Amino acid sequence: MRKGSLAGRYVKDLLCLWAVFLFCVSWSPVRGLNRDDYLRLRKAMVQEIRADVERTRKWIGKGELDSRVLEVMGTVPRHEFVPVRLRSSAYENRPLPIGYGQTISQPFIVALMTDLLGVGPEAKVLEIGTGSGYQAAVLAELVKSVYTMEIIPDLGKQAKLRLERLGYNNVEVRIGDGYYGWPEEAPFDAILVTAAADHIPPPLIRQLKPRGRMVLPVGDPFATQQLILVEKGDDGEIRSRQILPVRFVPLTGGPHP
Amino acid sequence: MRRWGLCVSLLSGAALAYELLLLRLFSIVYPYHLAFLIISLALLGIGASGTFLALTRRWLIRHFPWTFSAFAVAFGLGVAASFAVAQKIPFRPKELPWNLAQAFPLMGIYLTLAVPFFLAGTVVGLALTRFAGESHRIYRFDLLGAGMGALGTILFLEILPPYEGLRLHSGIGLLVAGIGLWALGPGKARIVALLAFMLVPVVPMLWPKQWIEPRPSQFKALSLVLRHPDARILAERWSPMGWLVVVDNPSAPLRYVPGMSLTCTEEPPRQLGVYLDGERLGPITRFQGRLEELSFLDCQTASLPYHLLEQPEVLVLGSGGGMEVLRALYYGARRIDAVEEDPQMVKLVQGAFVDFSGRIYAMDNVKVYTGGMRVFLSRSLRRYDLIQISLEASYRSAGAFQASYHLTLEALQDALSHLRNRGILAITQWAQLPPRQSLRLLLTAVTALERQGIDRPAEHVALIRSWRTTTLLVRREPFRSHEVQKIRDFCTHRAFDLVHLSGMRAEEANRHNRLRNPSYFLGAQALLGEDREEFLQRYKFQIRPVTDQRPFFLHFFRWRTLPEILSLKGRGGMSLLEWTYPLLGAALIVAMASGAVLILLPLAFIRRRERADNVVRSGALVVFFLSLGVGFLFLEMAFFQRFILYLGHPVLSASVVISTFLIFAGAGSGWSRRWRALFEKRARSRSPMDIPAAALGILIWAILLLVGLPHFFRWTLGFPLFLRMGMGVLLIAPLGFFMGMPFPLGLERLAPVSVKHIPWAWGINGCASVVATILASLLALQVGFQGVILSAMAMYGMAAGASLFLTKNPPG
Repeated sequence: MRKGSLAGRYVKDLLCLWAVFLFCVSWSPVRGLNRDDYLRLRKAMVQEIRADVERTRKWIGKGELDSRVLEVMGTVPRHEFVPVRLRSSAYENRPLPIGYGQTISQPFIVALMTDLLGVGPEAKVLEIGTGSGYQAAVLAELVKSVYTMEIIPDLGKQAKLRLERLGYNNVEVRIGDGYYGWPEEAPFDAILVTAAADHIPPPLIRQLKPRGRMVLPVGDPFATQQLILVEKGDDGEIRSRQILPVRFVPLTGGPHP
Repeated sequence: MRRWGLCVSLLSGAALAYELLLLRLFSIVYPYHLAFLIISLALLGIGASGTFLALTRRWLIRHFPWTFSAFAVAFGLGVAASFAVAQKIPFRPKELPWNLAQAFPLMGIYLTLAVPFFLAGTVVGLALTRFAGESHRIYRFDLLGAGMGALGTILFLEILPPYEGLRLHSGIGLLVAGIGLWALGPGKARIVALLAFMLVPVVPMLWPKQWIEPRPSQFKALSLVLRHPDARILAERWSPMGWLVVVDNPSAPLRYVPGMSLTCTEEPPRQLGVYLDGERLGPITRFQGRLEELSFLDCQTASLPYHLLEQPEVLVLGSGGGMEVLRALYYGARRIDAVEEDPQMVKLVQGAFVDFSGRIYAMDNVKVYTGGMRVFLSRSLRRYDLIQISLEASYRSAGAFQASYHLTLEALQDALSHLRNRGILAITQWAQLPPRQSLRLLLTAVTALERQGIDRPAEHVALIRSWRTTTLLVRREPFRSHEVQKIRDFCTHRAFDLVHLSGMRAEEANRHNRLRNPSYFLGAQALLGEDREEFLQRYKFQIRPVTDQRPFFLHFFRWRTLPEILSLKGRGGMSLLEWTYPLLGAALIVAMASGAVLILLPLAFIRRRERADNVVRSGALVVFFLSLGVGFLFLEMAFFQRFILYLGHPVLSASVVISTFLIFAGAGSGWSRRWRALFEKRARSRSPMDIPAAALGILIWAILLLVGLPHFFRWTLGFPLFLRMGMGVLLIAPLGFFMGMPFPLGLERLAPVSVKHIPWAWGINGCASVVATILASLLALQVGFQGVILSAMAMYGMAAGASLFLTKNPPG
């Protein structure tokens, strides 16, 4: 009898331990951060990107990175574009899940893609794949108007509301298939295709202005394999560049740029 | 005794079925390699059962068979429940390299899944302990049941979806409990037993489908596409080979034209998305007999060979939804043979979507074969003008540590031998930065040509790339100058780049899809030039050709590159990390650490509590049962992977190899007492040589297979499937038979002197199986299957040695 109750106690203890473990697994800390905290974190993030860009810039085919892009990265409240439970991680230099199987890209990659677009204050930009709207917000700070398309209705609606709330009045959000672009507003100075694609839709190339640029990331949303930069010449000729967004030489002792 | 044997058989069969079903279901939820790891680790539950038994043996045995029955019922109910709970745990595998906190839900999943293994292990261990003197028979029933479970699961999956199998377990648990309690005779136990029998058909039906149906993770391609408005599933098919789903979206159609030229303006006709286990395969493209609608195909690198051939006879390896068949039709192929390994895929194109696909598989000049690609090549005597290995076939069932025999050196040699004199082998792959797959494939082709005695292989290969794909052409005759010009023209018109072409100048490289460094061109030059070896040494990825002995085409990992890649994590370097490999290493550490705790815990307990009758040498016991567990799994895993080539598909290999191993090991276990008697008679006294002799049998047969199997495969690969399956059984059976003996012989040494060590031995064996499964994968990657088999032989050697020292005073 005594042994029986001993075994029973073991079982009870085990069940308690199990419950504690499952609670720990499913619980993630939500710390309340204030505006100053976010500002500090954002500055730190920009410093990190600046350092990374400094180390990587020669490898990504850019002599200089546009300082305006970094300024904007230091302005846009990234924490507003991530789920509440992930706000404390919003300024970490990593991609974050935003639900619906989508991610908000790593800040370093956002800065790089924005820079590669090479847009000025008067530019009109098309984005395919709005996601949370963060990339659109970054672009909105740099250009005259941003047209962004999202195929997942819930995501598109949330992004639209969020961008409106944050005062990005130069961003138009449309819910729909991005394959045919946004013909009413074409041509565009730049197009960003953040939705992964195995091919670039010809209508998008047509909607690119001469001297326009298109950027698309290739690979997993959590690990951008490469960036493709498509450039349209004055004569309409298309050229592309494939950019490994990292300082990595596959050959040991190989040539350094 | 038979009653308990039946119970153990049923439970072991159900436990193995649970393992196979989990692998199938979790391959749908997560990527395959992760599913494999989670389930390998979950098997630690069996090891834990040994520890649990060692600590609670007396109480559990005293209340036998009530405890036995209770654990059986708990196992039955736990199977579906644990899957339902594990699926609810929010885990994002792709976030793991960024966020180590994701390891917690991962751990939660594997511990949850381990519970049924723990319960099943407890039931079998309990029987082994309760009937210690008859352990050879219990073990026989355990193995026979597991073998039947493996075979039964494959057959079950032919008929029903895997999640339906989870339901059945509840019934099996109740059935076992009923049989167990019935043995107690009239009274309370019989009433409970009757109740259990009555519930057998009821309880399985009570599980709601939505609890046990697998839901692909939100990041899988199928989940993403189904979020699009108007996306709908048109058809789904379950089979042991996977879950095939066909998706349509009328408002935002799927469009699949990998690497389409940026100069092209063509739009593909309507396409239906095909998904295998939630990952994307090639599409089914609408075809209404109008070839002009297929002009988009001319915008892909894969069309290059057709610009060099007139009305070719074509063999498509990996025809899937038919895109490569359409390409061949578009270019006027005279005859098209298409090989597809998944019969369900062919049935879909020929059945539900026959009109949509334009009856391509039923055309006069198209013949479709289902089965393994290598098997087809071995069987066919026909020679072709073009052999096309499709983009999808290159990656089908090919994870970083999944054996895939499509792109090994031997595969390319086989394919080359089926070409006419001026025939071309064409292989299309995804383009990567830095280049890995394409360079490995180029080197494999060049090595295959060199082995055929070709002096200047550089003139026999051409490699081009778009921004997304590469296509390699190989042929036994050199490309002629007018063909070289055609290749140049093809690339120029479509803004594709030359990577390697006979007579190519450096300035011709890297013109359209520019890279900062012409790494493709430089890599190809190095591999085709004098400094190949130096390049291979210096390159930060392993790109040497893979062979049938080590068929891991997508494995490029080099440990020495890991620190550099990890340091680049935040700076865009994450895509360089083949993170499954370090994950395998981490899983091994977890398995070893947990195993060590589980093994050492009862040891401390046994020593503290029952020091007096300590006649068992614990060290020898650990070595013996650990070596046996590792050796058994090593051989099983190595031959399972090796037979994928021979039988054409992992599912067929699993059904033949694993079930043969287990069933014949069961037979060996049942025969082990006669085996022991044979030695006792000869020695006229108790002799400890029975185990070493069985180990010798294993070593001799393993050596025979090691040496003879490649030749045997070469001669008989073209035989009909049923013959190959039969021969597989004949080859594996003797090995399995001997492998079934040492474990029960070892237990029987313990039984007369120390019953308390039996559950411990059971636990050690269970822990060893877990470590061995992961270690075998790592070893296969590093040293190939030969290395795994040789290591297994060493393990059996060690076990034979340790068997001589198991007890201090051999019974006599």
